[in-house]
Amino acid sequence: MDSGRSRSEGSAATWPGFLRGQSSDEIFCRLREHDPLRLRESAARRLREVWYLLEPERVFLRSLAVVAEHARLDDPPADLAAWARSKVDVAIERLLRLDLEAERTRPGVLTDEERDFPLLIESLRVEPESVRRVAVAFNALDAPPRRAFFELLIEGKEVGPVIEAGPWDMDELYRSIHAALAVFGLDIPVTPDPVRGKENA
Amino acid sequence: MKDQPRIAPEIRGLLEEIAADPRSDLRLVPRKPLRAWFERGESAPTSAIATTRAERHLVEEHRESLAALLCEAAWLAYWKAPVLAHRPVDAEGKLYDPAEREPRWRARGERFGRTRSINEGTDLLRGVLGRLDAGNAHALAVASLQLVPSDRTRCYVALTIPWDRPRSAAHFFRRLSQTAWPIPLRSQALESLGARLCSLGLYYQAREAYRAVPDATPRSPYGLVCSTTLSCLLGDPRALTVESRRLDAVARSMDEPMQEELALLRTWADTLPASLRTVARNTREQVSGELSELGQAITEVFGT
Repeated sequence: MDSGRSRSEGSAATWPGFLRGQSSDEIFCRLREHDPLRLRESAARRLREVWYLLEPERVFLRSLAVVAEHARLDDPPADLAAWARSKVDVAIERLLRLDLEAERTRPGVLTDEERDFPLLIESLRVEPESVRRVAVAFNALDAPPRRAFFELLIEGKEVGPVIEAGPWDMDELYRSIHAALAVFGLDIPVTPDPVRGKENA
Repeated sequence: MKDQPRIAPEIRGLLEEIAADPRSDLRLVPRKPLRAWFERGESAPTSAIATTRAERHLVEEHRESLAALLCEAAWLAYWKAPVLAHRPVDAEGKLYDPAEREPRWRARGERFGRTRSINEGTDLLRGVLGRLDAGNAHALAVASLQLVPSDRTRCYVALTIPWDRPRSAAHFFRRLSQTAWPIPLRSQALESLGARLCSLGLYYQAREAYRAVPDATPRSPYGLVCSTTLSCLLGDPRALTVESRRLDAVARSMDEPMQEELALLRTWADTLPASLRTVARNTREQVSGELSELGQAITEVFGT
């Protein structure tokens, strides 16, 4: 099948100028310079929506690469913004898998980029050598613990509104945040219960 | 700065407890929410990006594209001669249709083939773009795995191991059923493990594999369909009744995927010795009044 013909037959949409080029390198350089799809912002926002611990700048760079590569392979989409958002998801999935595989095959051996995770190192004071292990363990958790961590620590929401808006009651939220924090090396006693309050201690 | 929210006191208390634990990797408790790390707007300077790091992402992504094309080719090749496998169902309940997917894969592959070549995987891709046969499936999956390690591709590698090597395949699937990520892959590994164990005549072990499927994907009926079938085959009327009731809770009765599954089971049952089918029919007779329509249909694969 002639790919040029299949592109035009598959959809009436066309690629915008900044996603056209002789190579993915050319598109990548253009995207990196101007970020016309606002991928940096999308990457950071999407991480807060899916509750994964990845360094946002790293997700941004991978998103640029995914978009540049797929603009050469995919048919032009009818909805470019939705297509770009889906590529951020691809980038996140790629990095989650890369980190998991790296942790399996070379535990404790981190590249400079893997070590570069200011959120964990500067704010949570995780040792640089441990950041990938901690992130992989966190990202392997079910959604509720990850969500609890993001809403309570990243977003800084109050416990009450988090319970109100989430899929949990107070006990479930406590179990979730406990599970999330356990990946930071914690195995604390079940009581006292910090979410329920001191009266349970 | 006064107006900035602070981390809720209860959560901060928990964090302080963590930081005090000598086993903890957490050494300092944050006072403020950490959202700033996830608020990157247009203002971040592009020039701060390390060029080599950015370029490495592009090189890796090119490799990912090739690996994905090879992996999809393996999957398409596999479906040219599947062995007792039910087609996957997407989120809308639509069955996987390789005939619909192959032209799109081919178009993407041809576009890729016109770009720079990174290794022998590109030559392999170009070769199968000319002609894709079931016999290519395993080599394609292995080539993809060599480019980019992933549990999804490991599943394809195991799935395409020839059926005259069931123990090798079972070994791979057993490991994947315990460690694969994302988690839904584990149920696929368990289903494939069950099928390979059945081909070895290890029906009790196969039933255990199928029974574990709902732990990984609670809404998938296929593990329960197979464990129900095996309970019938193994002469276990009590388990047959219990499992068929559990199945009724998750299965959309007699939709197209279920009909396809039953057709596969009938094909498989026809390969069994007559003595085993007799046992299965006797088991059904003992509890036939307690089985739902779906449970009845499953047990009828052994003949009426």
